[in-house]
Amino acid sequence: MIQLENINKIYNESRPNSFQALKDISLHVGKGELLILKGVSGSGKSTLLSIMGSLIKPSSGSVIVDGESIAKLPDLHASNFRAQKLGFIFQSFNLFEALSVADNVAILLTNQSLTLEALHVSVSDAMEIAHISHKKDTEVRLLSGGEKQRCAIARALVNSPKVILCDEPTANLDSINSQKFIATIKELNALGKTIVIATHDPIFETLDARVVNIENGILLKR
Amino acid sequence: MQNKLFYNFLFLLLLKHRIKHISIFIISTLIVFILSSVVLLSNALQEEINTTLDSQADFVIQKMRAGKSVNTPLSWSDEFREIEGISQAQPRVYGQYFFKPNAEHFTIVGIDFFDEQKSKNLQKLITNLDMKKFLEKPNMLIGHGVKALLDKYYFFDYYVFKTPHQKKRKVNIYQIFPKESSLLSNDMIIMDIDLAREILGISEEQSTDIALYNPNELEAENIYVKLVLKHADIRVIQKSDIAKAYKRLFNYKGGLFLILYMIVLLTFMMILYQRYSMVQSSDKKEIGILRALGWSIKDVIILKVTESFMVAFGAFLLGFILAFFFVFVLDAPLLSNIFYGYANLPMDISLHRSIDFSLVSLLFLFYILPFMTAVLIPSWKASVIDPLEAMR
Repeated sequence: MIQLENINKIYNESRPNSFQALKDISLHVGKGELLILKGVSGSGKSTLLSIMGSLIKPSSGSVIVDGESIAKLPDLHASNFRAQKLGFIFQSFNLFEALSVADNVAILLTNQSLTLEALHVSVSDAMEIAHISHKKDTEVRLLSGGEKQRCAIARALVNSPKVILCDEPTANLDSINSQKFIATIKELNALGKTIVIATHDPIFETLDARVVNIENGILLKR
Repeated sequence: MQNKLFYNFLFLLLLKHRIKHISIFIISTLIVFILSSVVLLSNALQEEINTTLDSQADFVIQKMRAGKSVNTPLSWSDEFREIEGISQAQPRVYGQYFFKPNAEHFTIVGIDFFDEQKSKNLQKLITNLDMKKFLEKPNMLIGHGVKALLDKYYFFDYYVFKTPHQKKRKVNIYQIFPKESSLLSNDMIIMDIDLAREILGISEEQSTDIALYNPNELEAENIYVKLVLKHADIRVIQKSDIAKAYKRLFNYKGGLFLILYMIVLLTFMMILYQRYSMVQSSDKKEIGILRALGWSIKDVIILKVTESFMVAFGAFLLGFILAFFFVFVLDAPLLSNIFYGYANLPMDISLHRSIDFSLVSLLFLFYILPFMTAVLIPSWKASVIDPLEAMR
């Protein structure tokens, strides 16, 4: 599902403060696989995840996700690719605090040619899977940390993505909510979703997943 | 891309950012209101003057002595009638009457009511004027400014004029000119030509000036040359000169306002640009989230521009409606004084409601383009940054 070949990422290239975040990384993630990218802060795991999600472009190397080469996609195509094939779950949820849960989940679909009915169905389904339907009309700012995470999960699922990318998803959660998140991840994986989680939280060691360590931009296999 | 869901999201954002938008909306409305008021008033006055000038003489002849105009001999009008192209030559009697109690001047205009053309013009101004009844006694038609002043000194139905020969002449107030004509008739008194001669002290062999009519505009320049060469002490005023003088006057006042407006608008755009340039971290984060979720740079810019356009358009609409109400319903208090001036009596004018849609479009472009530019650049800058960095 995801194929990374000889990926290098240098920030501020050709400048005195240039910094190489990733060094010659090659990685394959299979369809329906659950992969944990493990590493301390600044190890390069978030950068690698962003490259998989076409949020940033690698300095060199090739990235193929679901058969599509995304390393050099122009903005419009990269945006379409993200909107159609990927789901993101971020560390600090990144939700619109003043909007309701349902409105937050629907954002991704607002610029797609869908009917209102189709949108409602997609949003309801996503909220159902993320167990947040009961809070659909509540403003996000009034939710607890765990509920916000569920809202973020629903948003990541609303476009029925093949790949879900999670960046430090439990960093702002207590242990109970972290456990709940892991349970949800298992459910999603069981649905056949390919999931990549960038984390340094040891709680993910309980998951039956392939773990790949990253250190100073270099991949260490375990 | 812009479907119902997009606009739904847009309205949610507008509602969410209402505090940020409200100050811009208020300032924008005020700016549009000022500009529109000036333009609407100036345009309405121009229309009034153009309409009035249409029925005016093509040439006005005055006799000059020591650089001042003096009474013109009636014999001149016979000479002018002989010039080819002149269809009519009418001696006119008018002048200023000093109203001692208030130290103000009235403009007395004497009219030959048996003159068909003049009667027609007057009928346009005052409908239902019974000419026969009017001429039975010494009567006069007066403007609103004159009426207000006479009322102040308890001359409700008549006024007693003093002639230059110290004779008293009681003249009854027959009718008052409609408010809509106040721009020209405010300080005006119209009476029979013989009565006007007596009050102004103009002899029967003389007139104040002579009005000439020329039906063929193409001949105007030739006739002008012929007229100038007729007498050494002649002054020829063309209708186009009067129109130009009025235009210059109003354009000058309108221009002053426009310059002031430009300065205000420029300052506002700079504030606006700065405000949007310093995109708050929450705004930046929002853009980052949208970009990460799959919105393209174009989508984000469309969202931000539409959001700002709705604020700008709403402000324009409200500002223009307020200006229309201010100018045509309230008769532009304060602003009108600047345009009309206080050359003689204070004016109380009702303007004809007219909107020039090309002018409205120009106003709209003049306001909306700089506004959108001031918003577009910072929005674009914010949307091209790395989504991850924006979300942090």
